[in-house]
Amino acid sequence: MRTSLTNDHPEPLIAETDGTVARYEPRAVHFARQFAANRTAMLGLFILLFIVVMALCAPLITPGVTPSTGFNFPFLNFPEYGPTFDQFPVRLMGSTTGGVFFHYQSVLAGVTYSARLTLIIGGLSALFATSIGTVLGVISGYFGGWLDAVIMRFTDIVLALPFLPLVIAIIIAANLDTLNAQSFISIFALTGWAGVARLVRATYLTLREQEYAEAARATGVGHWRIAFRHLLPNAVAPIVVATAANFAAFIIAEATVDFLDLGNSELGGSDVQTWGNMIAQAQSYLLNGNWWWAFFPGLFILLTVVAVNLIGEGVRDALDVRGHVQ
Amino acid sequence: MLAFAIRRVVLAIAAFFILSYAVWLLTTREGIYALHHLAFETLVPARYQQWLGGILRGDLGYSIRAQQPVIDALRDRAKVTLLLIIPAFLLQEGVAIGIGVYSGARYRSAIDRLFSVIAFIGVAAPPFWLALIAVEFLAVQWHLLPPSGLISYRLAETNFDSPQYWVFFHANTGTAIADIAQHLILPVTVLAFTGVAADSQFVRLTLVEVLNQDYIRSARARGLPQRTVLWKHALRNTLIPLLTNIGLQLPRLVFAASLIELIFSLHGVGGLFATAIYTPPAQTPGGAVRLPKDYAVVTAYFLVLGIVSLLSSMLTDFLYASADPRIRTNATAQPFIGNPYTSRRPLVRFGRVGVTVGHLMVATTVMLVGILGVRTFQAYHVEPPPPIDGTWVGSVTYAGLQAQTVLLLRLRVDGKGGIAGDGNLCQYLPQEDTSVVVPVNLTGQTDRESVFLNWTTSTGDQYVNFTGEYPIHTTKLALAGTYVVFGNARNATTTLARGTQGDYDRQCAAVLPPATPSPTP
Repeated sequence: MRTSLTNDHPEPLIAETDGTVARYEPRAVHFARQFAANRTAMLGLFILLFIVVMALCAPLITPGVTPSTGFNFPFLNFPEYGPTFDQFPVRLMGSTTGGVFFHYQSVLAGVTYSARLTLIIGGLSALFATSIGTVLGVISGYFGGWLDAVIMRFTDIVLALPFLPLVIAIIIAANLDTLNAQSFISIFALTGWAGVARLVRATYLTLREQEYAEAARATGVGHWRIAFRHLLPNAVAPIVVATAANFAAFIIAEATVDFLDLGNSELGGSDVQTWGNMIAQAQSYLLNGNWWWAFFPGLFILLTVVAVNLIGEGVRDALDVRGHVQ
Repeated sequence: MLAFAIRRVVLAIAAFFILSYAVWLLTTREGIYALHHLAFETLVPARYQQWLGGILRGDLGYSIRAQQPVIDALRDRAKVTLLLIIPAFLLQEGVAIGIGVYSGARYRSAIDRLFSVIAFIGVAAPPFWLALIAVEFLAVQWHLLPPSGLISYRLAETNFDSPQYWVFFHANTGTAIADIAQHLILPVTVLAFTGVAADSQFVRLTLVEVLNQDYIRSARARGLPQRTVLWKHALRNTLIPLLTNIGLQLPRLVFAASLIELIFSLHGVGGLFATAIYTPPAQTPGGAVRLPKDYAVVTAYFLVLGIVSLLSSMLTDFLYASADPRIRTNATAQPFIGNPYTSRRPLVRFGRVGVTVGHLMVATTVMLVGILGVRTFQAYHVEPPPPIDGTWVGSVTYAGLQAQTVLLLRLRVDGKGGIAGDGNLCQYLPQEDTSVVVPVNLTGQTDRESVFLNWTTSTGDQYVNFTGEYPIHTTKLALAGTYVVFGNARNATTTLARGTQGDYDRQCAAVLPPATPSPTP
């Protein structure tokens, strides 16, 4: 997992085939070319695009199914008790009758509709966690001093426990009735920033000593401008990798929390229709031999995480001008 | 080295105090109450100090699920967890180093790519899902391995770790060990798989970097065989970063073990924790209910996990310092808490983490001043226990019952802990696998976390009598006027017969005293 700390040649030189004059390729074009040349990264991109398209086109893939409210599943064969062959039991949240009911949904519809909230929770939490972590890491790494010490102590405390136990401890402390998408996103954002902050800080410790940072300071550019305009583009590679890793970790963490069914509500701990929740609800039926209820949502989690990791590595490699370890 | 060791131990002790305060705040009921109401007088460490004193004396509270003190529950269950974690850890590191060196030496070959793909999948799959799928196929569908438990009940005819079991164990040692080994194959493999995936890639990439070093080239130039270069020169320097990685992996392994124990029904420490927080809702006539979390166990588990984190981080530092003299001479490189080695890059490792013993002194002083200030300026008093007079609702959950069963319940509170009361219920079960709710009149005052209840269940001519200790849900006690006692009787399996309205009336008349009006179902 090598990441580039510095970008020695921000505008890579390319040789002209006909002339003697060398020309600089725009950075974005170079990046796209590098990324497209990376076959595994492109595979990851295609997998992720496939899943995103599947999530967007869920109504087309499973016709006759319309989401009732939010991302909840619609009624089908309601109410019917006991597992059926090809349909998936979905716990209906917030039922006004005060009971836990199951209504049945095909696995395909479950997987396609669940992709939406899974991606939204993973993506938004990763976005927020990265934003918080980047800002704190930049402040800590660039300015140093007591601010650095304070931020890093917080980071150390957050990182003292592994991520998942920390999330569970916070959910227990929050004493929520049901865990909805907002609570997942805020809890992940509040716990996931620490790794990013430490990474960005480490990057900035090198970046701030670079000649171009010194040159900018010498010409009188403000510190905030140097930190966020001059140095940040050079720290993008580790940030992208950390974001991808966070995205993957958040999806898995959300699934695990669903599986453990935390939360105090009598109607069910997690009020989200995600792949994780599908696995959690299907696990009781595994012993009946209906393995595909739990298998396919998990398979899609796996595919998404693999895709996101591949894309993260591809972006890092494309940004890393120094190339791979040979 | 001695100075380094002293510094590191002092830091670890300070970190323990912060960690235990965080655990107290996040997972004990007092801490959660303080957090939710921002009750400053409870946020300051007076209560925490009481609690910590108990912890240091070995009083971790009482587990309402295990029905015994938490410290005893942990001691009883540590065997199973160690039986799971130690083989998993050894398997994980052994296989990871083997695969890592093998594929690192063949970097970007076909076999390396194959291992990388497997590792990618291993890291990407949710561990609990892997476990579920493995159980489903290897155990349930193909019958290759036992699906759950640690021993075959049919073989030993008793539970693991009971006195009878050890008699059986000494009589048939070979069979018993083979039986345990057979049961452990699946959980250990699943537990180790994720770690193997991560660590083998780690070893592989480190080895590739090491193999690019000059001293490897010079070793090769001297004509040393590949095996010597790889396993002696390169591996030794690959293992140093791996040590730091293991320090990170260990707490994760301990946590992952709890999910594995939950799925494989292993009664270990992690399983105790997982069942303490895993409280699926149950249907009752009055609406669904959910058993409360076993907070004492949750607190103890996070404390154990935190201590494992601290110890593994400290152990890593010692190993690392003995391997690399630069560490122990660098006074400021040690972080306050947690493991500094989140990256292999030296900048992260040796970065200006910037906490010295001075910071530590400041933190300790602030804490001491806080305690003294509270002691001095605020009368230190223990709040009187809340009165619990009023109607309580107990519920008992049955698994495996059929709908339309007549269920008679009598409940008597035995007066321990300053509470007395009784309640009656006679009604139909409205559906299968249900809980029933019984109103109970209670009087008294208590500061206990739980009450002893005595249930009498009867259907027809069968009576089941069982006593249990049940938690008082203090968060709700403090807030609401109606109090809830949840009965934890999921395993109270009794054969109950189907009944009709006539059966119901007859049984109610037979069991309930005539003066008590029976509630209509």
